[in-house]
Parts: sequence; structure tokens; C-alpha cells
Amino acid sequence: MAYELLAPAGDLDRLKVALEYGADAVYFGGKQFSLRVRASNFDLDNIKQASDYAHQRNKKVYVTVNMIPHNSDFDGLKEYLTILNEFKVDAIICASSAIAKLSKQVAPNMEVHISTQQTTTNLSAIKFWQDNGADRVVLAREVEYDDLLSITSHTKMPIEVFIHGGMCANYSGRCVISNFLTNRDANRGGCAQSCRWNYHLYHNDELLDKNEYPLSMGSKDMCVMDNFEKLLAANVASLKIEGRMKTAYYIATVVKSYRMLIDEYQQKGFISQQCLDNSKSLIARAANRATFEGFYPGKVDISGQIYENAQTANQSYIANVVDCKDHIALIEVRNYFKKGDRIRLFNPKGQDVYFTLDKLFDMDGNEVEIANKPMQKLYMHLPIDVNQFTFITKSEER
Amino acid sequence: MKYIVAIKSDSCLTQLKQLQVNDVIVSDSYYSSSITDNDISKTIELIQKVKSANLGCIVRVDRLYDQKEIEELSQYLLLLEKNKVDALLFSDIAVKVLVDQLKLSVKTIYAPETLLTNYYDIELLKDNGVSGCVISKDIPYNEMAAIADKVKNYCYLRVFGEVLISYSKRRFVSIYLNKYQQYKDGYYLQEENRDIKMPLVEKESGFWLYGYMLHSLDKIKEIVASDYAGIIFDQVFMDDLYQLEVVKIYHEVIDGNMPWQLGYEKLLGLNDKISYQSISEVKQTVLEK
Repeated sequence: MAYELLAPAGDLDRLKVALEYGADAVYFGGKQFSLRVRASNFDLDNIKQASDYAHQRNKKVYVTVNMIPHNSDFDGLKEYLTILNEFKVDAIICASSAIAKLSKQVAPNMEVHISTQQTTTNLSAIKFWQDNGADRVVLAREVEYDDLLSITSHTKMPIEVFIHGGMCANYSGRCVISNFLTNRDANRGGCAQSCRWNYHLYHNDELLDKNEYPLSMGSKDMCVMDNFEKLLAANVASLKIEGRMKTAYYIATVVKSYRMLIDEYQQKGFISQQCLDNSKSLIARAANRATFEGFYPGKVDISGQIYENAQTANQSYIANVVDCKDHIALIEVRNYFKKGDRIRLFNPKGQDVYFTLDKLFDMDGNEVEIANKPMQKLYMHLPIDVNQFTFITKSEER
Repeated sequence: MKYIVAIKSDSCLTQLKQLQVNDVIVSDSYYSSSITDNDISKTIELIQKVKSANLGCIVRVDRLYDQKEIEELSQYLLLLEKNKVDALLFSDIAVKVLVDQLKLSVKTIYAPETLLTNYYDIELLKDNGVSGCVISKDIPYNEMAAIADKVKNYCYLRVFGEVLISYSKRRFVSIYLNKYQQYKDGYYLQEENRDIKMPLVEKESGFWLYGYMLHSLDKIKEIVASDYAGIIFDQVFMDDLYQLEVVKIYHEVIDGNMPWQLGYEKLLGLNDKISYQSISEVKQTVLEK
């Protein structure tokens, strides 16, 4: 069984990173018709480049056309889908049966994948989409593991499931809190993530807030590593990582972590404890929010909720590589570091490389002691030559 | 055009019939989102009383269902068919597929709340044999009107009732209070920087959060002159007597016996704790500020 590892991309750079670090396919939004309007997203030229880049590497690209459309949102859609077809985009991900039908009419070479925004939770709903021309269904994140097994063992429809990343507190597509409180349309890309705000809970006039923290609907992120082997055994077609807004370093780390697990499972038929430990140790470096296993084990209790909207700002990613020759890398600074720090080189393939930073120069060749200006370009002396997909992080060696 | 009213009991069936209501919506406690004490046997009793009162009977089957619930749901649908229910109000497209697979004659009215925002999708549902669709309440009035005009005598409009703003499988209140029970009458959330009270329902099967009580008195004459298949009075938290009074007010306004402004004053007089918003005030959303 081939498992597709499907990664998000907010822009072309992140798409390349995702593919280099082991994704089999990448999904992203165009400038129109997609959710996540705050992601950089791809203009038509970018989409063409992305499609060509992926196909040259035998990988796939899926474009999200997943808004819940209003009447006027169909203006220009036919032309857009036709262009995606010409660019050889492999599939669109959509949440509207009308968009699915239109795509089949004007873009016959593109698959249609039904978005999680349609909250598909059972075989009967899958049959509806099958009858309406869908090539794949992305299940709702609320599907439990036993139901997933029932579903995949009784349908020929390829099934895609989420394995990692942010989760809506409510059924995706069935929430307009953002519309109601901020007039920003959650189902057309404007979600203000109002579920993560603080709320007072009342019964009539009695305030029921706990002293420690107010009520929030915010969810922890999903991470299925501990039961990943069970998911692989469930014969799903595609394993999806959430996060079109996430950094390139986050994407690289999460993709490589799951790639390691999939590769071992495919080679050996099981995932060893050592491989699992290595993957967990790696993914911990991309810590964002606290994580839990989602709905796979069953209904969510307090272990799936976040009451203080704290995201861990990851400071360990310090620079990326623009160019490298003869062990001298031109780098772009992301976070504070200094000479004498222990440094890690994180590569798409192979082991990490650790060293103590001894030489750092500015663009005029002057030696620099501290790097503390984001996006500043500097030269760094490295123990090896690396490529542009290498991330430079602080070491977390103990 | 049909007049449809959601009820919780048989207390007002005769009066509703006298007000030319065609159909009522009945709910059970397990398969619907509603707050009700009606288990399946009580629901069947209520259905029979509705039929005896010569009213059409629509049953609300409006949750999203896990795969493990589908077999039981099928049995429930068969029971409803046996009791000659006229239509199902549903939110999970699985219900329509099951009705076809079980070869039931009951009609199907799709009401997924947030998803029916354009006429293209609704036309396709019609092509798929869905008997009718309830247009989303959270889109501007002119967009609703455009949909009804395009897909004539097929769409239903909720002309009165709370706007559902989210539906979750998580039990947020039970988890927060560490006390798993039903939360319904009188419970609400208020965002810490806003003064809007959002009533909620929470039970074993999930959590439903509501916004304003939407009314349409200022537009109701225009609505009844349009090509909707039906208008629906469907509020969650108040009892049937309140609902009956609301229908009476609408009736007076529709018949031209009362200006809508006076009707609105009467509506405010029914309960001063409810926040109303007119269907004509629902704004076009923006994608980003």
C-alpha cells in the first residue's frame, strides 16, 4: 500500500521545502476561492511554477477551492478551473457540490477531493459524494478510529485523513462564530479563530467562570504519532498535515518526522520504538501548541482543550541558507544567536550535523559577535557544505 | 407556500391549525439537536397527535452521525416512515442517501444551517432528488431572495428563530465544569470583550451555540409574495405558547391587519430578555479586516 504524505504550503518556498523533506503531495490556495486568506497563497504564475516543480519530482499538487461559496463567488470560477487544468494541477479540494460538478465539466483531468468543510463522517455521506463525481473524500476530524476502520473497509472511495496540526473546535464548515462576532466569514477564508477567545459562562445571571481560567473553546493541535501505526493499517489513501500558515521550518520538521515513520513502516511492516522516539524528538522541535490525538481514540475530554491561548514561540530556528560554497554559507537571520553557540544543521535527508559557531561575518566581511536582526544577511562558517533547504537551528543536545 | 412551525408538545396544535399552519416540526432528544424530553416513543405519540390534527408532520433528524450510529438511524427512519411522517429535516447528507437506500417515501428537506449559501449547490441538490432546502440564515437577505427566485418553489426560509452559529462534537461546558450533564435553559456564553449573550445547548451528542433571535417582520409580506416553498418558525429555547404568539403576530402582519412596526413592538412585549435582529440586517461578511 502506498501512503501519500500530504503537506500544506503557504507559498512557493514552503512548497519546495515540503517536497524536499518528504511530502508526496502539497496543497495550497490560490488568491481566490480558498480559505486561509491570511496565508500568502499562490497567484497563477506561482501555481504554474508549483505544478511544474512538483511534477518534475514525480509529486502532486492540489489547489484548495474550498470556500463555502455565495452566488457571486462563482464569477470567474469556470475560467480559474480551466487554467488550473491547463497547469496540470492534480486535484482541487472543494466544499461545494456545484464547484465539484463545474470542475468535472471544464477540467476533466483534475481530480475533485471533497474538503473536510463538508464534515463527512460516515459511509452514506461518502456515497453521496461518490455519486456526485468525487475522486476522494477528506473526512471530518471528528471521525473516531473504529469508525474510520469501518469506513475504509467498506468503500472504494479513496479517503484522506488529518494526522497533524491545528483543529477547529467545532465541526469545520458548521461554525460561523467569526461571522457573528467580527463579520469575518469563516467559510470564505476570513476566520478570526474566535473559538480561541475567552468566554464568560453564565447560567441566567450567575457567572460560572472558574477562578483559574475562563472558558475557551480552543482546541489543542492534533498529533497522531503514538497511534500512527494504527492509522497506517487503516488503508487510508492520504495522510494530511494541517498548516498553510505555518513556517517553512515547521513544515520541514513535521513532514520529515512523519516521513521517517512511513518509510520504516513500508520497509518493515511496523514502526520500531527507536524510530518513534526519534520522530517524536524531532517533531518536538516544531512545538507550536500543546497536542493530543484528536478524536481518533474517542470523544474529546479536557485533554483536548486549551484554556490559555498560548502558542509556543519557537526560538530555536535561527537562520536559513541562501547559498553555500566552500563551507561558507550566506544565511538569513530569523532569531537571536551568537558566536560560541552550539548549532544544528537540519537537512532534508540524512543525520543532523552539530558544531560550535566560530566565525560569523557581515556582508562587508566584518566579524560579527551577535545576530539579532531578523532577515539580516550574514556569512556563517559551516563544517560542511549544505543546500538551500537546510535550516540552521540552535542545538538542543544535552 | 407552506407555513411550518416547530413545536415541543401537542399543546397548541388546534390553534396552529386555525392559524393556517400547514406543517409542524417534531423532534426527539437523541437524533435531533433540539432540547426536548421526547424519547422515541413520546416522539411517535406526538407524531400521531399531529397527524390526527390534520397537520403535516416534519421530523427533525439534524445531527451529524458517526458511522457507528448509521444502523440505528436507519431503524429510526423506518419507524418514522411506518408512522407516515411527511418529511425529514436533516443536516447530514447521509440521511438523504439512507432514505433512498431504504426506498422510503418520506420527503427530505436539507437544512445544514451554514452550507446552503448559493443557488448552484441548491439546484444540484434538487437534481439529486432532495425534496427541498433551507437557505442558510447567516447570509444577507438579498442573497436569500436571489436564491429563492432562481430555484422557485423549492427553498424554505427560516423567518423566525435563533441563528445557529456553531455546532461541535465537543462538550465544552461539561469539560470546563467537569460535570457531564445536559446544559440548556438559561445557559449562555459571553465573549469577554463583547456584551452579546449567546445561548447554548449541550447534551451527550454535542454542543450548539446560537446568536440573535432572527425575525423578519419588516420583510414578511415581501417573503410570502416570493417563490419560497415554505416559511419556517423555528426557535429553540422558548415554549410552544410563545411560539404560538409569534405566529399570531406574523399572521396579523401578513394579512395586513397590523403594520410590521406594531408587530415588532408586540414581539418585544412577549419577552424583554430576547435580543432580536431583522433578517434584513444580516450583513455581507468581509473576508478580512
